[in-house]
Amino acid sequence: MIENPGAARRLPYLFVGGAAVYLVLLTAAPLLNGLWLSVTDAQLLNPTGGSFIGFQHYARLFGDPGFYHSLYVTLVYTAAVVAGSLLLGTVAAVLLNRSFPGRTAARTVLTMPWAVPTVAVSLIFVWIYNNDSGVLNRLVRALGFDAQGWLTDTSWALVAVTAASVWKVFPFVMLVVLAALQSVPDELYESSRVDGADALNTFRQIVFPYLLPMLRVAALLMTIWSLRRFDIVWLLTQGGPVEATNTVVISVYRESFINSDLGLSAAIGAVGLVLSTVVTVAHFALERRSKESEAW
Amino acid sequence: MRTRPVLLAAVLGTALLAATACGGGGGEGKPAAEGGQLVFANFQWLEPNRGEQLWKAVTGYQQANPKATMKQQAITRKDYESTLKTQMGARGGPDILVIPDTFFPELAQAGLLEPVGDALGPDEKGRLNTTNQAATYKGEQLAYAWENVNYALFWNKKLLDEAGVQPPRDMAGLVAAAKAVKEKTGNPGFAVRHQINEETPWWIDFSNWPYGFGGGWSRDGKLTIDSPENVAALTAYKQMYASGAMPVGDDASTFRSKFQQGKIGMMIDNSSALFTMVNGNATVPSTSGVGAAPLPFPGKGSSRASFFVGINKNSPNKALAKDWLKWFFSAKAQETAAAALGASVIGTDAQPPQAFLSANPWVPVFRDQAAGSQDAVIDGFETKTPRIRHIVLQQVERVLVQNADPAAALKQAQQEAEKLG
Repeated sequence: MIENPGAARRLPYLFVGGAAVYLVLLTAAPLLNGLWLSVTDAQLLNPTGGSFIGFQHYARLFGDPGFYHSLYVTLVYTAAVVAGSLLLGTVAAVLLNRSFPGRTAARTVLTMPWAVPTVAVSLIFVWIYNNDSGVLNRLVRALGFDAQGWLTDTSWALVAVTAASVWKVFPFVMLVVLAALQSVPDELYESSRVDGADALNTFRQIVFPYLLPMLRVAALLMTIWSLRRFDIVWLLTQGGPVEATNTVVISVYRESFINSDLGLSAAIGAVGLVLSTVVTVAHFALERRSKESEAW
Repeated sequence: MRTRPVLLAAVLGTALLAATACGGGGGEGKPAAEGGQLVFANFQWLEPNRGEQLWKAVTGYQQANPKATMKQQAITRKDYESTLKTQMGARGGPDILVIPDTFFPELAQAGLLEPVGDALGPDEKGRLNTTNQAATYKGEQLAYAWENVNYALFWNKKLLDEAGVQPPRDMAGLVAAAKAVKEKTGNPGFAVRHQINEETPWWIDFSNWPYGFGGGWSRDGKLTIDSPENVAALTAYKQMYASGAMPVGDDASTFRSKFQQGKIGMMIDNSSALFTMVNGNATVPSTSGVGAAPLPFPGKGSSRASFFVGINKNSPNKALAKDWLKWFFSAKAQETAAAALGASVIGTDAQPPQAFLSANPWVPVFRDQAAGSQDAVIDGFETKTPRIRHIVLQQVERVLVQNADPAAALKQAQQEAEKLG
């Protein structure tokens, strides 16, 4: 017990101080520095040598149709990955929540995509999607259809990258939903059965309300992660063909590390930050509204 | 007195930032005679066999200066420029680095290369060939030639024999031969880079076509992206792509592996790549399994990947690094380098050993391309090359995958590139 009242008063600040310093040094400072860079002409090879140029980068971005295209690709990709992973993750969790022989093994196998490094996943999908010798085109040909350029055709590339991303991330949703499913009291299932509800109605009326809060959190995380996902898109297509998979984050990387234009890259990053912030604010607003309506 | 954690963290943070910002630079470092460690960055250290030979060739310096030690910084080719940009932009990075020609203007403009005009003595300078002139910036020698890699058409003799076709001498023959190989052997008849996910090397590879058709990217300080020669080159490239004989979607590492396994008929690629594919390969033996010829295009021009060797301006060991450079351009060290880089033209006229040429009879074809070759850096637009490259290759992709008209696509690329100013 601390007897000195002054020390006792300062103690909480001491505990919070470490985290605050950590956040300021590693989050707030880089963020502010990034925003500053976005109004300079800094180059990667001379990051501290940029001069203030006002909002030129932003003006250039908002006058560039390519930038709007990358925003569009980002939003489509994000929506598809979030929807796909929530659907697949929930279905997998519901199936794995049932009792059947080999359930533990099935859970392990289905969790693996989340655990496998993205580089390995990307290499596997490059092979799956290969035009000549890929498994997918062999299957397509066996079914009597023409082979497709999954990563080389502008009509398919985004679909292919999205599918690979969903495969990589759906286990996260599956685990979250599985945890939520195990918290549904057995009595509720029993009373539902006594009332004569079928499996679908039981899920809709009993299980889904239990899952909803977790699904909301999972959707928020999936959205933020998808908005800023770089690795799998870069490794599969680098934004091509013809910018078909060029997300905002790919543009950030391209401007920084290929064109060395740190200022423009920071401006694109700032727009990406606004996107993530909008999503987060919308999530919490919905959450609040939902709680308020429940209170009524 | 108690040290306040916030204050301590702030002081440490500031000190760390200051140390990062102020690292390197300064003078020449210790005299070379006092020794030290030289970190040498090169993507080629990762190449099977050749990487080891090259490392042996450059570390011969440790016998000449026993107080010096050398350490590899191996970076994959794909990440080479971005890794070095990040390190050197933060005033760190290796002491010595191999510099791809497309990267050189950017490093030079940023002032990150140590002038090396005084590093070589009269003897060493007397040995230099003309390829070293490209390593100057605003009249100052900032690096010397490490390797000039040339391009040619080459083929798997066995597959062409199986298909009953002769090595092609023109574009029509190339397409016909590729189709014949595909039809009669089931293997892709021809492979070349064709995707934006290999943008930097694709640009160098693709430049073979415009250069081979008598075109180019600029003339007299003006961009010539949409010149008739370039349009003809892109039309021919599209014809090859759409022939059904190419392994569309394969990146270079994939189609090179296939060639190594005897599963590709013909390729247009560089001598380094071919050497790596056939060196010690029993399936496609270098001595008897490979044929090579100049590019089957109307003109004699071809692309070239040049690599320079220079010293990081922020190296703390500049004196030692310059001493290494002087040693590397000695007659003996150049002979060793020529043996390790046998299929390429190096910065002096040192020749690979006769045994190497006998074991790799295709090498002279590539070396003969040097006279008509040019690099893929756009003259007059050196530092804008990455942006222009992206604009042009985007339009090339439109032609390949969306069937855009080559003339219209290159015209659009010209207009977009001109807007860069």
